[in-house]
Amino acid sequence: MDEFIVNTIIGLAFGAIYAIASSGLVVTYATSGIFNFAHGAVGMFAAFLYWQFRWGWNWPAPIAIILVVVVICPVFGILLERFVIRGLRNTMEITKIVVPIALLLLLTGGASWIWGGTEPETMRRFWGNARIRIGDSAGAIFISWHHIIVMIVAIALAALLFVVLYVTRMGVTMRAVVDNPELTQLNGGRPNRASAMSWAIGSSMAGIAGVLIASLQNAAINSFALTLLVVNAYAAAIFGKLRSLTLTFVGSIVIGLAVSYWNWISDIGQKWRWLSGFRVSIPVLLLFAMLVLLPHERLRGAVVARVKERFRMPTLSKSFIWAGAIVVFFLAAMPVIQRGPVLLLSTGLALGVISLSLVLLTGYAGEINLAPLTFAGIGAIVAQQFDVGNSPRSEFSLVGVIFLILVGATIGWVIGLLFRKAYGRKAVTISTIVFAGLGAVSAIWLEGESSGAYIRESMSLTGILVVAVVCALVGAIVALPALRLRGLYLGLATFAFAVFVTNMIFKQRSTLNLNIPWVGDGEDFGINLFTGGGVFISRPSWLGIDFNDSSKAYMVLLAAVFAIIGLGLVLLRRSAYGRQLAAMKDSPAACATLGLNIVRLKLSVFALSSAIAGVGGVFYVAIVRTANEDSFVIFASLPIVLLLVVAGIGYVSGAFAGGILTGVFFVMMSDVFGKLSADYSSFEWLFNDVIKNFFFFVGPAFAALTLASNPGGFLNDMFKNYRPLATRKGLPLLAAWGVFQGLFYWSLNLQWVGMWTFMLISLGVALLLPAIAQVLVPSLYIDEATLKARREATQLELIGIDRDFTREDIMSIDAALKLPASEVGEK
Amino acid sequence: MSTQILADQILTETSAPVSAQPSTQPPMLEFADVRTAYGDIEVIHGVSLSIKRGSVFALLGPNGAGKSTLLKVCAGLLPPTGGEVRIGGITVHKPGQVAIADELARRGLCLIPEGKGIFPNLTVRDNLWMMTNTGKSLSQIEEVAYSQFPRLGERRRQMAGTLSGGEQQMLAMSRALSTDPALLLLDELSMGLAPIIVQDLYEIVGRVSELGVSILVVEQFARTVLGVADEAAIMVSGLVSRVGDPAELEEELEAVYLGGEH
Ligand SMILES: Nc1ncnc2c1ncn2[C@@H]1O[C@H](COP(=O)(O)OP(=O)(O)OP(=O)(O)O)[C@@H](O)[C@H]1O
Ligand SMILES: [Mg+2]
Repeated sequence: MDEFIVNTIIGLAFGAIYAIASSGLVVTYATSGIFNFAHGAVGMFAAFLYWQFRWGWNWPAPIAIILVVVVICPVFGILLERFVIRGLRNTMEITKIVVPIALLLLLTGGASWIWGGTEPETMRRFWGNARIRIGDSAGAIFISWHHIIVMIVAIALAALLFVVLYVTRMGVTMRAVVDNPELTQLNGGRPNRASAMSWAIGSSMAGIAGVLIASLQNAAINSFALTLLVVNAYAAAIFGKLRSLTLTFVGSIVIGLAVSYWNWISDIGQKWRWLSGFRVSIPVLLLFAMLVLLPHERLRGAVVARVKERFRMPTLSKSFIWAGAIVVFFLAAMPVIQRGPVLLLSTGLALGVISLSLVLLTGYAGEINLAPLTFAGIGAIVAQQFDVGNSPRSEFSLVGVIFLILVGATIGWVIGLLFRKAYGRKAVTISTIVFAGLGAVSAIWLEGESSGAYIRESMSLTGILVVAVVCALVGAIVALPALRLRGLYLGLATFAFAVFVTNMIFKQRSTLNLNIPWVGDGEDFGINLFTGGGVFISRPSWLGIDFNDSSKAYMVLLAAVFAIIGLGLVLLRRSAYGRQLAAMKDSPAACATLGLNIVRLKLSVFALSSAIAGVGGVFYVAIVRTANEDSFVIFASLPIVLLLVVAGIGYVSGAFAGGILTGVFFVMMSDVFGKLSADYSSFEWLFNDVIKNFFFFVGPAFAALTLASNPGGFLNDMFKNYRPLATRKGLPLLAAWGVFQGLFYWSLNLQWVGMWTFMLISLGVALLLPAIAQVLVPSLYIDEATLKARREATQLELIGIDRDFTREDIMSIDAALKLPASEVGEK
Repeated sequence: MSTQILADQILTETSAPVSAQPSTQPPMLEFADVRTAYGDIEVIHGVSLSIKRGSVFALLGPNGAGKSTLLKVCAGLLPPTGGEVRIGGITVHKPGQVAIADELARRGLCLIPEGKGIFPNLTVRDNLWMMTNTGKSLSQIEEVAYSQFPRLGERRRQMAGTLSGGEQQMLAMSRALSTDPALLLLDELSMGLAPIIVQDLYEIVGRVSELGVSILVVEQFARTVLGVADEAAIMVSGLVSRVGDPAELEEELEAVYLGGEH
């Protein structure tokens, strides 16, 4: 009983903190329609600032708190609203999701930069360990003052928030903006001011939550863990449908209690060690459940204008040329490149392959996945099981296989029944099939020898196939509950999935032991997922080349893999299936009425995309042959998504550029400046402390923040100027450039010029190419006005609407249709 | 920014009754060759109109003519791509220089938008509270609204979205009545309402105009509005096809709706 009370109080305290954080999130979302992914990071940063003031510089606690919560956080919120959020108002959905994520990375990166030293930042509770005693001396319970303070603060803040929202005109205006920003203006209200106010309040609440939860830890704080801790409150905000503060409060308390009770019960239990990661997963599981179970249309906030992006259709011939060019480029680089850059470029290429999964999923089909690396990690684990440890045994026990298929089908059927009400009979069929498939795969897996793992010499093609199949199945399973989710909610669901998989699999330290009847030997289900803290995958040995011996050859192989999958995607985009995906992206509802099977489309595209990510993950790990538990966490996934959007998520070229940016550019820049600072030690503060760290910690986030001003991705803009070169008029120039570059490369091989000179001049010429073309063949470039006029002239269907329908129009239409000239209006 | 200050002076100076104005004063509201577009698609192709001080001007036309769009431009919700909008003879909107909507609203321009000019998830009282941004106190506004429309008074704690269509329109009209605007723009008051209510509402419009407020009314089928209008225009496909006396325009209007020549 006593323990029950203590755990209830602990749960209530956590719930109260979640309530503070989540209501701040709701307030900002409601007034701006932007879900602040960085909310948790704001809280984290505030906690670090508080640590700095209170424990770093030993200021009195009240001053530190007031400075952080009442001054810095609100000002930050106002600046954020003014310079970032406001710019997002009429942008595409992915931009609205990605820019706050950039902010999240900016804050976590910034915290690592500033407080990333070796000394741990230890927080202590308010009033230290002072406790109060409840009950008589026999069954006394001790509760720390901190827990009590937390609850009082939460209640006081709830009351304050209520007063602000319902008893002041500013509050009414804030709620009015949610309903209708234009009408708010017509009433003379200032939507911007209301929005800034709500962001000030939201940031402040995030800050309070961060400070309270960090000091509750009573231990060293870690920026990523702390961010995730506040992220736990997101489930509560979703429970409140991102609107209702009351429901949000209820949800927060439920989450707090659930975590606390689980902790208590599992402490009693101690039986299933592999469930130890479950406690930290409860909030994200609840988030996932909430997203899936709440009726989607009820999840709404500010009215958001839909902006449709249009990506060009890739042409086949150009795609082949590009694919060839990429492979040739890396072949050409082989003789001249050094080992360091080889590994970097390989990383870039492998990340490019993983990014391709998002080009398909998000660029083509409009679905969102914030955690590509989670699927990559699953792929790596599967590869380790199939490629490295176990080789399938020759004698199958048919009974065992059939048994597992039946078990899978039954599980799938039951799960399908759960979703039948929402999705209809199809859900049952699909989930039965999917789980039966899983049963089959696991049968093969379990039939394999489970003991005596040995490091396989090289990656096998069948292993890759199995990875693709398993990842496809996992992708489909994740997509199944998420079928109705789109946009932000799907993004959140994948975020939750990533955190869950990280806790339960990537950080799994226990062996899963299970004995299944009729299958394999006595102890057949002993899977070491990440037990050793890492996965190990050898490179392949194909076509008579052992890639284990040559990193350079492996780099070219990666380029070829990228080119092949990229070409496959282009072909897919141009097929009927690709057009269906594009149609689904535009309007799922319209597609359904046209008779397209949305369920099948969505499941298949998720499956295919996860398969690509999984295969990419295998090649990624094989670069250095090993990966650890941190390789696939959500905080590693997010920069990939960000830079892909920056580079252009609608195109295969975007995946290439995004991969290179993530894997090469920022690492290399920080490297270059690190070296410079070694050479010029008097400028170390500038080169090392400022520029190098800038690129290292916050570079990607800054790149993504530019999206607020250039939503189409910078690559598309850059290519716009190159496109005219590929026309017939531009061809001679292009050929001349090719010859120049070839000769120049030759001179590099003859060592007439150095590597750096070669790189710099080549890059310079390539960048200047459009400008040179503009001078030499000015007719290639038509100015905007002419283009616009031309476009208007061709809009036949708008004649008569945009301008009067003249006699010339009739004549030109007659001529175009080869009709005899009509007599209309001749007089 | 200077345009806003000018608009301020214009709007507040000109709310005096029409008889007091010398005839040499510029018109209250003037559109000079206004063009505007949604994205790439131009929907208004050069509209010129002028609305005299204290008069009621009826702008009529079929669906999609661009009437609501023109009002949006006037209120500062949509920038013009060509031409100028002048209030009291001073330019408030032209391409690249647009007065901010809420500034104009606080200075006496009142647009009641088409359909639901209310906040559905706010109570009736909160809706009225929003109107206090224009400078009147809540009690003043409540007094006018509830005396004009007693039904609203009975429902002050109800969510506005759950009011009937007519009650919602009354709530929207309360803003025109209680905030003392200088220039009133009304977009399809009659939408979805019973003829008897429409008649009531236009009676109110007539009374407001007698206080010296200049009014621009947009309607589609509107015998009623022609009754209160001093002047009228027909707009078709983003262009004004005819300006003149309401009585004369009535016949012509039929031809437009029946798809005849114009
Ligand atoms: N937000 C918008 N985006 C794009 N086009 C729009 C938008 N609003 C209106 N339009 C188009 O502009 C044109 C004029 O619309 P507007 O609403 O001004 O017409 P209207 O005269 O008020 O018609 P109605 O009498 O039906 O209200 C229409 O062709 C409409 O399709
Ligand atoms: Mg209209």
